[in-house]
Amino acid sequence: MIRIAAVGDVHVDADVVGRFRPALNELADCADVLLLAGDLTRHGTVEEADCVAEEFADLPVPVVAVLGNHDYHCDQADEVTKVLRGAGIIVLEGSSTVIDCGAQRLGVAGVKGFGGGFSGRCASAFGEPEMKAFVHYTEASAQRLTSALTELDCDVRVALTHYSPVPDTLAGEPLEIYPFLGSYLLAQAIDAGGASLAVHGHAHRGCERGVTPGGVRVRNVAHPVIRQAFSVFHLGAV
Amino acid sequence: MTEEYADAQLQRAIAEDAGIAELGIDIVTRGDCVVLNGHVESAQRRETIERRVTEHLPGYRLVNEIVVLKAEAPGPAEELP
Repeated sequence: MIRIAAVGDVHVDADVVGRFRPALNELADCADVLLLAGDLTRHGTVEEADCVAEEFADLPVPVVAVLGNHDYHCDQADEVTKVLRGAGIIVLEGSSTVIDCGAQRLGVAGVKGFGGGFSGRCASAFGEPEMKAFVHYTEASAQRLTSALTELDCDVRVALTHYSPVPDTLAGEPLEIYPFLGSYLLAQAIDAGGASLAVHGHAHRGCERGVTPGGVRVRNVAHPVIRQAFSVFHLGAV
Repeated sequence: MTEEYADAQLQRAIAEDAGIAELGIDIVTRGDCVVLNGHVESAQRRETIERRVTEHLPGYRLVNEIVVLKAEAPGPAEELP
């Protein structure tokens, strides 16, 4: 059994530093890894990244993150990534990492992902260049996730995204904004890549549980949804 | 400005204002009352939103239902066979 702790959308700035730390200090007793599902900052500044680093550095388990849309807002995503990596956080974007969890090796593949919507009600790469760019961006992100998952050499694969791969975990959000919350292309990548679990954030008003069309369990761990410092999943529990 | 345009402008301001950047706050006006709903990470952020809305909609009675999230240790793990 692999114990996965996860939270997203923590939106850390100076006013939040220290709030998660008491719960995080208990990670050694309950988890093998902590996944951060994007929107780690408010605006994506280096100063906020420093706060994230302070909050999530030097934990007793490996910390694996993807960035979210907030982390891109100030066009400093590379600098934010550098700060987080400097603090020992593994930041994924179309890439993967393998973590030894006792007898099993956990592979985590991550991308931020993007929107576009879900089967039957999704955007198409048609018309204006801006519309094509929107869809092509998500397609490229999903392709990177497929590659990152399939190239993993491990026992169990987990997909980590910020945007949602399924509409199930968006229940509670206004239907009109679903295309801005995720894309079925991410679910297709998760199914093709042989993941056992998909973890995402972004949908603050959504719900926790969903399943891809291929039967992979999906969990929305956005902080406003789980309303605790992190959730823990026992993957492969008997 | 009609009420609908004012609501749209305020919703965008809550998301786009540099000091706020909250995308998950619901703002509903009912008669002379404006109701705020959603979750934020600190009491300071809750107050900033309230101040911004009050500036934008002077004269409205404000009901601030925004919840400051807790970051306590988790409940039992979910078993995924």
